Amino acid sequence: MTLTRRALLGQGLGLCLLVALPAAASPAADAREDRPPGEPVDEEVPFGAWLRVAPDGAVTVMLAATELGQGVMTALPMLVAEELDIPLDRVRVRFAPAARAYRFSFGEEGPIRMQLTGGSRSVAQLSEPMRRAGATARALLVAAAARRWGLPAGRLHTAEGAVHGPGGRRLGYGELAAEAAALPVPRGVRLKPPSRWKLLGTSPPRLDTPAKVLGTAVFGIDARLPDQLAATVRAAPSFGGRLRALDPAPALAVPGVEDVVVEDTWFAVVARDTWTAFRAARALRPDWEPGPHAGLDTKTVEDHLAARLDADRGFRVRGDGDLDRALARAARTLEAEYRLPYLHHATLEPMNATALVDGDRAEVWVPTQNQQQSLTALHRATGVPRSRCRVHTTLAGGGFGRRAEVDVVEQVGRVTRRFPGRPVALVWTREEDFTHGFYRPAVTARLRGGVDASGRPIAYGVHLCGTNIAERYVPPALANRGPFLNFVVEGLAELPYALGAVEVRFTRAELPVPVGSWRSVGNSHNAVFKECFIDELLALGGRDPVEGRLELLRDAPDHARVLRLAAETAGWGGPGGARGVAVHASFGSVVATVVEVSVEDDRLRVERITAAADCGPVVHPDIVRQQVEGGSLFALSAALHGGLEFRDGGVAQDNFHAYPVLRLARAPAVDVRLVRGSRRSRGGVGEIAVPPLAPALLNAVRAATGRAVRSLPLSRHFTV
Amino acid sequence: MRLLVDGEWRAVEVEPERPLLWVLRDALGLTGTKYGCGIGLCGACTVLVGDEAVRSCALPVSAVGDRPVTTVAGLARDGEPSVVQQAWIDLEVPQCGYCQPGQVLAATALLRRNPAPTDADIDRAMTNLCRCGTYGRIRAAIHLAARRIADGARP
Repeated sequence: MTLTRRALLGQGLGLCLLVALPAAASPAADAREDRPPGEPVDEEVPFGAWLRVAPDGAVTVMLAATELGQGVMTALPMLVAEELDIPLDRVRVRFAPAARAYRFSFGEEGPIRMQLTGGSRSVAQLSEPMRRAGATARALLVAAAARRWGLPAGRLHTAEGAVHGPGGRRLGYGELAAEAAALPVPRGVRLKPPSRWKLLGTSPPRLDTPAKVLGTAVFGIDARLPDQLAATVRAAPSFGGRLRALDPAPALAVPGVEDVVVEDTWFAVVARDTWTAFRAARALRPDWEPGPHAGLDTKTVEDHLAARLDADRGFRVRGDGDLDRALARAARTLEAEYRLPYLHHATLEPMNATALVDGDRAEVWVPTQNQQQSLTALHRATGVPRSRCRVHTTLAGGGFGRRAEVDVVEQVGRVTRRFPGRPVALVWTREEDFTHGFYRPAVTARLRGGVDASGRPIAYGVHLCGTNIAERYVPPALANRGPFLNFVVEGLAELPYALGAVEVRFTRAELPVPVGSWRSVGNSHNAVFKECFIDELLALGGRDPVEGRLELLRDAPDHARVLRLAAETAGWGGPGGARGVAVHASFGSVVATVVEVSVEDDRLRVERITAAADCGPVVHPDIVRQQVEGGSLFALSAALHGGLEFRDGGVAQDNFHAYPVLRLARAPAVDVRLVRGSRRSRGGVGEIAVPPLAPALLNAVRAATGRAVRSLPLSRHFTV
Repeated sequence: MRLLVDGEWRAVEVEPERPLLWVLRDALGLTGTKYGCGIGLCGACTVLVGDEAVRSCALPVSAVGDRPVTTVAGLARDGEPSVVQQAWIDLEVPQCGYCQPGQVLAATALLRRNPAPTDADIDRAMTNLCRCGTYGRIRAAIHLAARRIADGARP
C-alpha cells in the first residue's frame, strides 16, 4: 500500500460522526439501547477511545479493524495487554463504531486515515496506537495507586492486571479505574522495549476460535433483531443494464411475502424469512433492459486487451536505461505474452446486511471491511442524517477485499426505509454474489527481455493492459497517469532485480466489468509477470532459478534471505518432483514460495508448497503461519480454477459448479518458515503469501514439462 | 411437524419442501448452520441426520422424518466441546470461521464411521469448501481427534 492508494481512497469520503457502540454478540440487545454516541456500556470506565476497564478489572479493547479471519481480534488486544500487564484472557474485544477516532493511517507517507480493513495494514499501523493506549492506561492506574498509598509511583509495579506495592500491597485495575481515568493524561509515556515483552512474539490461543468452533460466533448473516423481515435482491444481469418492467404479482402470491421493492437497476423481495424471499424472487420474470454492453463475452474481453496493446505504446511508469538498446545488445532475446483472467472473491458468507430505520435514526449490522463508507452509504440510502446513523460491525465470513465495497449497505438502506421500525435482513443468493461482484481485473502483459553472452539477464520490459481499479475512485485521466497508477503496476514498478534496462508501461483497458480490490490487488497479477518472465530469462541464459535470482538480488538482501530460506527448506535441487520458485515483496513484507508439482500426461498435481516470509517483528507467529498457509491455498485455488467467463454482457458463472474452488483433497501441505532476526520494520501479513504462489506454480509447470504456460487458470491447460 | 434437533423434539410449522437449513436457521434460530451456496456444493450447511453428514440446504425438511438432526450447537456434551471440536480448538483451525461448523460436522460423521481415517479417507470425506485455506489444519485436527478416540474419547 503506498501513498497512491492512500490519496485516492480519501477521495469522496465525507465526514463521519461518532456513533454508539455496537455489542458484538447481541444485535437485539444493542438495538434496544439508545445510548448517546460514544457512551460506555455498563460500568466500564473509558481510557480514551481504545480501551475501557470494568469494575471487575476486565479490559475491553475497541477494534478499529474487522476480523476477517486474519486474526486482528487477537493480535490487536495482545498489543494492549503487553503494555498493560494483563493476561490476555482478561481482555474482551468489541468492534468499534464508525467514528473519526477509529480511522487509522495507511503508513508513514501520507496523512490519509480511514476506518477500512485493507492493505494488510491493521496490525502494522495500529500497533503503535494500541501499545500507547495500553501504556497510558497503565501509567494512570499506577498513578492512582500511588495516590491511594501515598507512595511514589516509582516504587510500584504492575503484573497480572493489578498494581503492586511494597509489603504485598495490591490493587486490581477495576478498583482503580474510576480514579485513574480522572487523572491528567501523562505525556511521553514510554513503551516497553522488546526485550521486556512477555506476550508479543508468542502464540496464545486466538480469542475468536472457541466461538467459531462451537458455532456461537455471530456473522452478519446471523444478525437477529426482534420482528425482523428478510429480503433478497436481483440486480440487472448485464453490466449497465436496467430494470425495464416487473410484474410483482407472482411474488406477492407467495405466502409470507410482504412487498416487492423496485429500483432502477434492481429489485428486492421482502418476506417473513430468507427462504420465502429467495423462492418468491425466483417466481418473478423481470424484463431487463440489457444496456450498452449486451454483446460482451469472454472473447470480447481477451480481444480487447490484445487490441489495446497493439494500438497503444502505453504510459511509461518506469524506465531505467534504454530498453531497445539493451535488447539490441543482448546475446539472446525473448518475447512472451501472459494473460490473466478476472477473478471473483467468492467469500463463503454471501453478501448481506441487516438494517433498521426508526424515526430519525438508522442502523446497520454488516460484515464490512469499510465502516467509514458503510456509514456514508447508510446515510445516502435512508436520508437519515449521518449523526443519527450507526454502523455495527459483525464477524465476516471471508472478505478478501469484496467487503470493502458497500453496495449491500446501500441496498439494505433503500429497502429498509420503506419499513419504518422494522429491521430488514438482506441476504444475497450465491448466484447474486457470483454475478454482481467487484472483480480482480483481467490483465494481459507483453514482455521483452534479453541476456548477455554470459547468460545474465540485462533487459526487462513489460507492457500491461487492464482496468486500473483507481478508476473506481478518481476520473480515468487522473487515475491512469502519475501516482494513481500504483494500483495496477504495484510490484512491477519496484522490480528488485539488478537488470540494467527496465521498462514498465501501462495501457488502460476500456471494459465495463466492475472491478475492485482482490487480496493483494495489483501484486496478484504483477508477481506473475515479474517472476515468470525472470524465470524464463534465467532459463534462456542457462541459469538456475534460485542462484540466478540471488545474483540479481544483490541490492535486495531481504529478498535474498527469504529466497535462500524457502529454497533450503524445500530441498531445492534435491530429489523430488519438479519445483518452481518466486519471491515477491508486498505490503512491507517479503515472501518466497517454492511449489513442487507432478505432471503425468495432462494431469497436474501440486505436491507441496514451501513459503518463507519476512514480516519484520511478529506479534503472533501462529497467526502469521495461518495467513501464509491460507493465503497460499487461496492463491492456488485461483491459479488452478479461477477465471470469470462472460456471456450476454454479464458474468456467466453463478455458483461453485461453474467457478470451482480448491477442495481439501487437492490442497497440498504448506510448510511455512518465518525469518529469524528480521531487520525489517513491521510489515503486513494478510495478503503477502498470495502474489508469489501463482508464478512459483507456473515456473514449476515449466520445469516439469519444458513448456511455458502463460495463461491462467491452469484448468484450461491441464486436468487439475 | 415435529423434528428431533440436538436432542430435543421441536414443533415447527413450515412448508414440507422448505430445506432443513432454513428451518434450522429461521424457525429454530440455530444460526450455527450456515447458508453458502444453496445447492449442496459448499457444505457450509452440513448437519448430521442420524450419523450421516447431510447438506441441509438441499434436503426438504419433510425428508428428515424421525431421524435425529445434530447441528454444531448439539455437539458439546455437558458444556464440553466434542472431541472433534476440541481438536479444532487445540490446532487453531479456523480463520474466518464461516465454514467450520460444517467442517466439524463432516469430520464428526467421518470419525463415527471410521475412527482411524487415512489421508485418502479424509480426502474422500471432507469435500466442504474453505476459502481461507485451513485444509492442512483440518486434516491435522482429524488425525488428532482420531488419536484421542483411540485413547477412549467418544466421537
